[in-house]
Amino acid sequence: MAQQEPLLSVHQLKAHFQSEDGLVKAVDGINFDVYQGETVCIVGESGCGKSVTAMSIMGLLPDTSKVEGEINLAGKDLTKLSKGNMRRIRGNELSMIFQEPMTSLNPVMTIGEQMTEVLLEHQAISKKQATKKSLELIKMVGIGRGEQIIKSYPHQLSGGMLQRVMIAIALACDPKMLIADEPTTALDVTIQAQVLNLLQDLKEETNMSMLLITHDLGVVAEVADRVVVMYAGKVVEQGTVEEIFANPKHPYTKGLLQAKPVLGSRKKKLYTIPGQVPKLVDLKPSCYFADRCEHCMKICTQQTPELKSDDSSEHKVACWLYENEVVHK
Amino acid sequence: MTQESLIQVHQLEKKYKTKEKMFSKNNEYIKAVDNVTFHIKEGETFGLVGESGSGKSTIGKSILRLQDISNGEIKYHGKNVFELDKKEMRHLRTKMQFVFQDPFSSLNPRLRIGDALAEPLLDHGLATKKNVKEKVMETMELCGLPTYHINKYPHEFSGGQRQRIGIARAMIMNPEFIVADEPVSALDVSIQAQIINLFQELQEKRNLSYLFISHDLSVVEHLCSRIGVLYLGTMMELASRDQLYENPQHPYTKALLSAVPIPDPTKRRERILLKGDLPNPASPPSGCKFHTRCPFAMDICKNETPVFKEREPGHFVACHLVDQEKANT
Repeated sequence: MAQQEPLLSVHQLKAHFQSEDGLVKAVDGINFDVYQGETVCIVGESGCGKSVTAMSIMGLLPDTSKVEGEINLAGKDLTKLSKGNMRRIRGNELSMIFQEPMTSLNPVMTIGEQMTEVLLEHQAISKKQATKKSLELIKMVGIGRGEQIIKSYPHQLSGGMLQRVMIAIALACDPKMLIADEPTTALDVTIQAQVLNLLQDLKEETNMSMLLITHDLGVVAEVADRVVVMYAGKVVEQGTVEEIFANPKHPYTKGLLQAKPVLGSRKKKLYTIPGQVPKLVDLKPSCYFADRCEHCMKICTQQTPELKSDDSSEHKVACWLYENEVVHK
Repeated sequence: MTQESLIQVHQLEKKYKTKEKMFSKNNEYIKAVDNVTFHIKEGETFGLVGESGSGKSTIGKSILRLQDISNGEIKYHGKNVFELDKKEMRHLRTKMQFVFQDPFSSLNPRLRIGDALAEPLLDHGLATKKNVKEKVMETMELCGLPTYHINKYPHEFSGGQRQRIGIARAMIMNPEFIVADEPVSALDVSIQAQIINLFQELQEKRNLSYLFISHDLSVVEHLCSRIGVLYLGTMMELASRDQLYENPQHPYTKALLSAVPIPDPTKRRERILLKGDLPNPASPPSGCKFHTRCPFAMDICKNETPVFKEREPGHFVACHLVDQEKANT
């Protein structure tokens, strides 16, 4: 898979915001690729920059933000596109679903109106054809009674149904790339299982790529091909899902995996990562995880480690512990 | 059984009026809790699991008499909570406490946390103005809050610390019993582990009993000794942790367990996928409420409500399928 050109390539992406307290580096120089037909998961806790990453790829950050770096989607640099061109790409080639289906749909428009709106905007088809396509899409995401659904308003449907509608709208124009920001977090477990299964099936059918943002490591293990672990605006580790779970390297990744209670494996006490995520204002060059890390060394508080691998593999980590390994060899 | 049980809930029923009809006596009701029976032993953690709308929180609130009930009994140390007079109830309020999901919305934003913690002590005459500060600091330390925070306002704290404040506010009355309603659901993994461990420490130190309400089956497995599974206000299965997780009987419990994503990519399991959404609680299905989504539903399930029976010592199930299997063997 590595020989092929990546579909999405994010290079040195930065997203900074000016706040009252100073410059917030929400995303600070991250790199990752997503290949055709692949699911990449971005994991991390709140405030680590997952959603800002997604929004900057979509070009949906407010004008007050400063976005730098390259975002290449199928050869086009999205950061250089005009607003109009970006609008054409959004929905067509690049699509997104959000955490709260309830708040991302218009409460005073019927589901049908909202679905045909997307189709009419992006494709040269008649209203009749758009309605027909909407019905097909609703069927595709596993909702029966399509005729009835397109006449309903969002408040008449359950959370799981709405998330399916959102997925249907996102997939209306056969995007190459779907970004899903915590798509199942607001749903009950049994509904979450349905939606994850649906996304997985649709991905296989259409061979699209998916960038899934989540804090739930269980979800990651179920759907991801590769994983990007973020902490305080930086990527601290990335690799294939098998490597990350079997052989996590960064102390933060290890901590996350140990801190989560897992069904069927009982421990007396849960491992905890002390402290909390730092404020992203005026951070000095250092490993941002240093003050919570049990392996913290002097260098960790003075220099920022780079994301690299100690061999040529795809498994990369940004941690001084492994830099030393390289040095000692 | 009566001797050791701290809380006894017997055939609890809670109906909410949905529509007030002006000229008709036949008001419409939603049965949020329908004929639920269980007990909580001294020093144990009893878990209530279920999806949204299953009646978990309603049961929690009813036990603390934060709302009236429609039918049934709730006993605390053998005394019916709803027959206590004002004075007795006031005393009981100190012994039973509540920890909420979102501590921020349950704290007065204009009260320093030192004052917020002192308020109930002074109100109940459990401390004098002189020694109240000492007691507040003691409880803050107990709950892992540095005492120099005593003069801060709620908005100055992070999510994890706010939950510690919520717990401190409950602990300061030196209670015997705490109802914790989704206390870790809004927290990040690393913070969640800290709070779960705090709950365990407090239990060991103070011999507390908990009613732990959660939708997260992994957290419940970690914390609880006995667990009840609710679906649309009805108890489907009740068993010890080992019985429930190793030998679940009810198809709903099985489906719930199989829907939990496991953070191990080598274990991608076959799921029991439930069809459809939770039915509208205002018009619950006839017979067994789960029959509309149950993969094993039979004719009898549509017509007859299964009896909640003890199958093995301490293991209760309400399911016709289990009844039949028992009859055949």
